[in-house]
Amino acid sequence: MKTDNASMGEDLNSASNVLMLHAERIVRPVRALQSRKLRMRMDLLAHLEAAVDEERGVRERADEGADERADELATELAAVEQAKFRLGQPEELTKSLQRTVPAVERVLLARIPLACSLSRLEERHAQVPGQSGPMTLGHKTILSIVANLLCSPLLISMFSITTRGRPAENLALSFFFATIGSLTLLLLCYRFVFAAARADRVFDWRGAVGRGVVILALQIAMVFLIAFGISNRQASAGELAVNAGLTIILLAFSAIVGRWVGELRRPYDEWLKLRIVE
Amino acid sequence: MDSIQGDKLRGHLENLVLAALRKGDAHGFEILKRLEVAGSGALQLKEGSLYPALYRLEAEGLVKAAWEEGERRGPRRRIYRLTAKGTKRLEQSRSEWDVFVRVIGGILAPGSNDLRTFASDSVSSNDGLSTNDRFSTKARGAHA
Repeated sequence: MKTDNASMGEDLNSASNVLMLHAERIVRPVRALQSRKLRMRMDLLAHLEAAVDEERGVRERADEGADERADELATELAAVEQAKFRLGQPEELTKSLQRTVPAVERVLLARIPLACSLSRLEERHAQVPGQSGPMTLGHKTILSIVANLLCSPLLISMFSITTRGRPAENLALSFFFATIGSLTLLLLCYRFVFAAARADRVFDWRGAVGRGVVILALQIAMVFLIAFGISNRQASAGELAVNAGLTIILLAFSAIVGRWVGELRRPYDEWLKLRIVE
Repeated sequence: MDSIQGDKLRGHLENLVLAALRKGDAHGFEILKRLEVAGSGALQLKEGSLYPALYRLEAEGLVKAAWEEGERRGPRRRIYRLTAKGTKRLEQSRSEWDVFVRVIGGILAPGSNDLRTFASDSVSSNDGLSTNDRFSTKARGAHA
């Protein structure tokens, strides 16, 4: 059960979220690159928090003697409202900030019907509401390239196997299973990379290792299958070692790149996950 | 003291910010506090208007901003610093302001004879001249 103090702490914490929401309400409509908008957000949030501290001090001095804890919450909320008021009308501020954005950026990020529908598509599928199209695309491209790269040991093994031996009689069946296996592997690789790129502060090592082991096992199984199907022989220890070694290196590389993209996105995600009610 | 706000501050905010930064590097809120103190409470800014002004100054290269170093509670702040170009612009603005104050102050001052005479003339005379004609005539006379 929550104590009174814990509950009040949460309320005060939500006051801080109110400030974040207010800053986001002002900055989100500005057509500018996300890096510029992040600077605006941080400036406004730092300002609002300083203003709240100041207002809180003024009110606490005025309320000296009143010792009820409920007053603390009322003071905090009043301080938040006053800080918001001091900053000025959000719509006016949005317009003023928009005027400081270079014309090139304004044109590039103009709201045109196609861009709007793309933005909705992005919101639905990429689940990064509000993030600019080019930045999302850039992140996704990097991650897709890495995911495809993670499948490459299989292609290398396949190339090595096809240069030796004769095809088995059940080649069609092998081809079918190889196709299903490759697609599964590709999906797993995508899942691995995109999971690594989550903007969470703590990296999910256990999940990453689990997914990595599954990818490694599937790669080795696929090498066996392809060796049988295409060259009618068992995969050699050398082929398996090369495949496993390359896969492990690429898994580590993918995790590092995924984490790097996640780190890049984190400052934005903290803002973008805020839901602004119009 | 009457407050100075809104339209009266339009066009001056950038120079005020430059002047505040001359006292040393500062983040947005501190700049605002410096202006409030310097204005003895008569200067009433919509606080949000400070940031567009800072971004304009930054775009012109008159100030430079950098993220604050070190850990602190709350969001990271950007510290604004006056550049050499900004200092030069501040000096230029100050001399322009001196000229402006001298000229306009001279006109508005209680001892400004020409305008006072002109005002009393325009009340007492009924010679059919328009206000502009009368002013031009007086100005020509003074010039000669």
